[in-house]
Amino acid sequence: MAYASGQLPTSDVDHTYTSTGLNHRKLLMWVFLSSDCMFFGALIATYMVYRGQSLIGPYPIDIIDVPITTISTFVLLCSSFAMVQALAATNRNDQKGIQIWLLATAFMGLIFIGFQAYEFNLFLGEGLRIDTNLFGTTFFTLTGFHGAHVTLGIVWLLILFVMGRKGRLGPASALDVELAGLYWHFVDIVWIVIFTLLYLIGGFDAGPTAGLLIEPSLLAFPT
Amino acid sequence: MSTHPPEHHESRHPTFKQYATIAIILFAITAVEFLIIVPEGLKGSGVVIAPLVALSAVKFAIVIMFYMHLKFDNRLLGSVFLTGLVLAFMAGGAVLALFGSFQPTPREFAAANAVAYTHLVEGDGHEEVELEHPVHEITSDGGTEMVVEEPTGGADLVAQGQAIFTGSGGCLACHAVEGIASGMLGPDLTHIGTDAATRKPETSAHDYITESIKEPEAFVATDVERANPGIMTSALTSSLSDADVEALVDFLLAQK
Amino acid sequence: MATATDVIARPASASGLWSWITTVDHKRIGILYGVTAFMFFLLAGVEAGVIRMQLAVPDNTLVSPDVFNQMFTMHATAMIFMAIMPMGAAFFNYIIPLAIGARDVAFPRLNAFSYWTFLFGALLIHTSFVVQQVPDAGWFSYANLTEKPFSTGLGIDFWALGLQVLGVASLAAAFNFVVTIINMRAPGMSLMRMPLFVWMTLITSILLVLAFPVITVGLIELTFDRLFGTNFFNTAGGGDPILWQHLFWVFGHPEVYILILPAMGIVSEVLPTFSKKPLFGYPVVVFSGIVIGIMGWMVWSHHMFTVGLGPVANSVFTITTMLIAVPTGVKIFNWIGTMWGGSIDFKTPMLFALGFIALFIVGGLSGVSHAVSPSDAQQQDTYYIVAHIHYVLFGGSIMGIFSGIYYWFPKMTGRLMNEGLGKLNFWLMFVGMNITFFPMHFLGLNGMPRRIYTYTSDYGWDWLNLLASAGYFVLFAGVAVFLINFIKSVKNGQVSGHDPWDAPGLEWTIASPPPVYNFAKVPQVVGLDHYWLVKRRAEAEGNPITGPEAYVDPETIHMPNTSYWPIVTAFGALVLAAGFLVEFPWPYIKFPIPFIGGIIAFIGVLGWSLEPAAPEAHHGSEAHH
Repeated sequence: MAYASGQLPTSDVDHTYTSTGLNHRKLLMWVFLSSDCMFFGALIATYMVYRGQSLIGPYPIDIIDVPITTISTFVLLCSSFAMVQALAATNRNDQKGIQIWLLATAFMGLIFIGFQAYEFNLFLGEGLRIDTNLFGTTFFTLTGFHGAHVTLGIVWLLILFVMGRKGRLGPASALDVELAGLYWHFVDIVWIVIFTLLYLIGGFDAGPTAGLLIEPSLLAFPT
Repeated sequence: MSTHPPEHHESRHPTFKQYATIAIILFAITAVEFLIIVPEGLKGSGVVIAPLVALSAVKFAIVIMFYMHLKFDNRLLGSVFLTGLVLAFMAGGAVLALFGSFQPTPREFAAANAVAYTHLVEGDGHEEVELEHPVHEITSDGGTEMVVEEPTGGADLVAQGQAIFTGSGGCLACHAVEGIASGMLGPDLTHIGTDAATRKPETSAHDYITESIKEPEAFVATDVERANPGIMTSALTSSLSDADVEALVDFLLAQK
Repeated sequence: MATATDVIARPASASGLWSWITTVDHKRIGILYGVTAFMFFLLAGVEAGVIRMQLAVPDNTLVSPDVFNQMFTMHATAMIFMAIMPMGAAFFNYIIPLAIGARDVAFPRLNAFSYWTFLFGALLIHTSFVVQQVPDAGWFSYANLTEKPFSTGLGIDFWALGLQVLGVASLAAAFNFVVTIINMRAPGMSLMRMPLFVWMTLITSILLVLAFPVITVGLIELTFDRLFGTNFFNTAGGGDPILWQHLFWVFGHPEVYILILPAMGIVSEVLPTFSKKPLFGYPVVVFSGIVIGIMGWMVWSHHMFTVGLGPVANSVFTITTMLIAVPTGVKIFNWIGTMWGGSIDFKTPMLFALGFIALFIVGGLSGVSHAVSPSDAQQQDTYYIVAHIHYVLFGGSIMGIFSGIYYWFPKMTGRLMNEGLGKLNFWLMFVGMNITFFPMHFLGLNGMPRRIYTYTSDYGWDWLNLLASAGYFVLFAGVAVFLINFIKSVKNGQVSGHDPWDAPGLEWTIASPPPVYNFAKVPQVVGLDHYWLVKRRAEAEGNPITGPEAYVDPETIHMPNTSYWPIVTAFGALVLAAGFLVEFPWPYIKFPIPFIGGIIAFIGVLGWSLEPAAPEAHHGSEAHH
């Protein structure tokens, strides 16, 4: 590379130059999602370690309602579809489409949260609290943190919706919508894992597993 | 079943139709997952685990690659994400393995012998905390006793004895009985049913075992492996009721 | 275009307290990190002093057992999370953009946020002293000692919540550096032309990003057990305390590599500079660092050899732990190879780097002996482990950090630190460190357990303990000499010029201290050890480079504006965490304060997002995180 003798070699790239050609924020979002995999991984591992180890009920098979949760899973998947439509609308500068699809995504997210709230309430009514047994502890913690992620996503989407109404979203700011989309889809795929493990597979766990040799009644826990 | 939507080449943004196809595929997979566990025999059975996990993995991959656009984006982003994902699986899997495969967990013993927090000695700076579901009660002389229902007596004393041996009695911590317990501190009791009669002169097997439980210091057998004086004391067994001891003796006599 | 935050004017001052509070300049943030971390280093050193004075003689009653427990807990927690890690962060902040030819980090406000969150988290944990409810269960706080009935009071809550806040700070910084290093290198600086310190920072940041979420989950579970009566680690409820150990050490082991890799990076820069020879086997050293980062995830249960995982688990982790010594050994050979045949200049930075190598080898050797689980069964929880820890962390990380301080002080201040005092500092610390910690190998093998507040003469540990405690004073003197040197040199040190060491890195091409914009023109990197190549070519052509890059008017270069949203958001995070310390006797919401903290944090994030990164909008990228 030729440069003037006795001088420091310089380049004339402009301020948008990046070493990879990627936008900083997009790279950041993927690094964040990678990190969030570890967060949910640890929570899911805790759930899996404690499967079947609750000393007293209610147990999953008593109260987990797979059909209802399947519906809420459909809703969340649907919301991901709405999210990609919102991004597509942003890219083609379809202002009305931006608002509709963003609102739709947030709305479906809210319905999902509604299902979660209903389920939590149901379980509380059946006597399953976060401190009742290991199932309650791990279930509420894991799904609670997932729900918190969804809620933060809904707030983000609603803020974007407001910005859309003010005409501040368009092809030039598509990245803002794309970042929200990446976060939203991530929250969706975490739910896919949770749904499979806690509901489709773990939803039929009944009572302590064979490893436990003590009759719960001997320990005088009220059932 | 095809999971490949129509390829899009130059356009970074798939059409509505392409996205809708993907959405329908995702719905279909979810429906199949639901249907898999509808039959009663398959609910909670081990055989559905692999198909369910596989189907979920497919959904997972489809959302990542198409909705999150990773298939068409810079490969660095995929590597970044995959690092966290793979690590989460492997570390999580390792922790699970460490909890399950290599050694029975000490959880059963701990759960059976967990000391109620109300048991703590006064005056050492710790507050006494009442557990809602106490495992032990404080008895009138300041000792503790397992909150245990009296055995209903009669039927299956041996099974009750086994439950006490491996549970509230805590015998499994030190003694081994093949297939039931593997304690390594005290003598192996796998054949104690036959051996007991020969241990102490002029003492029946029944009486010998009863004395060994209630007053272990009274007689320590010589030339029995790991029979060392001073380790098992009557304090260890004082919380057992007579009915408990009866059940234990029955159980041990059955170990021929 | 109008922004929501136009109502309150964006801060614009360049001097004074307010300018420091709203700064987003990586150099200032680096200084903030460094000064703050050093203060906690001193505080943790005082706690170490209390420990050593209590243990100097048998049957001592200098402090009660409870206070002793608090001392070793806070000493370790502060040293690890509030001294070593943030001192590393100080260097990442100050040096990385300079070393890669950038004008700042990728996310300047996130950078500021990470500093304020660190400060607030550190203050939160130390508030425990003010209310006399200090954490006392060890820096790893094993369950179920940490559960409510056994640890009443707020000590463990301070620890867990403070650590969560510190974790947010570390994560924020790590995210920033991963993106900065991957995405903001000057043209021509491919990955294999990056300085070693930059490589080690990248690997450290990746480890941080992946490890901290695991401890976050562990801390959440511990906090839930203590506050909400869950059963994560409560055996009576079916939980298992071993799960805490797994979660902690899955984080904890990568954490120790987070602690040592930056120091290794510093040493890998100092050795070539003062041997006047390029780093021997640069690709191999890079590769070893990567391998250490990866293998660091496969060894965590060596902290749990005596827990009863079983012979198979113990064997697997013995093997992986012994294997991880290999890449470290490779690095050591490469460092020696760097010096071999070089023209060694024994300036203070070089002395500290050499001290690092010698002492880290000792620590590594004792580490290999605990890798083998049967011998670890004897060593675990004895002073042998304490010796190992301090050889690798003091002899390793701290020595490396001091090397970096002496090396980069001229760049940051424009003055050299005093060589005479520097050498005195080094020798006092080197000798003091050995007097204090070498006897602990013997104490440990002779059976002295860790975390005991006193011992009797019957054990024969007396004079070794006295020796170790005497060593503390030598260390104390060393640190005192350092402080004197630092303060004197900041004020009156000999002017250093832009390149006092004839070093190879990009940071030496610019003035000392650097102008606010770092580089007037974005550099074009011509190879590994770029500046050496440029200087040697210039000399060969008869046009030696005699000065730094020419100064230009800062007004002509746009730099990120100051902002107060980072500190507002950090404050929100603090209130959110600290709120869990105060329980209200209300029916449904026992902890209302965290909600307030959440709202403050939300407002902070909102203001942050809506505030443009620059006063004039750039290509429509308004919302900025």
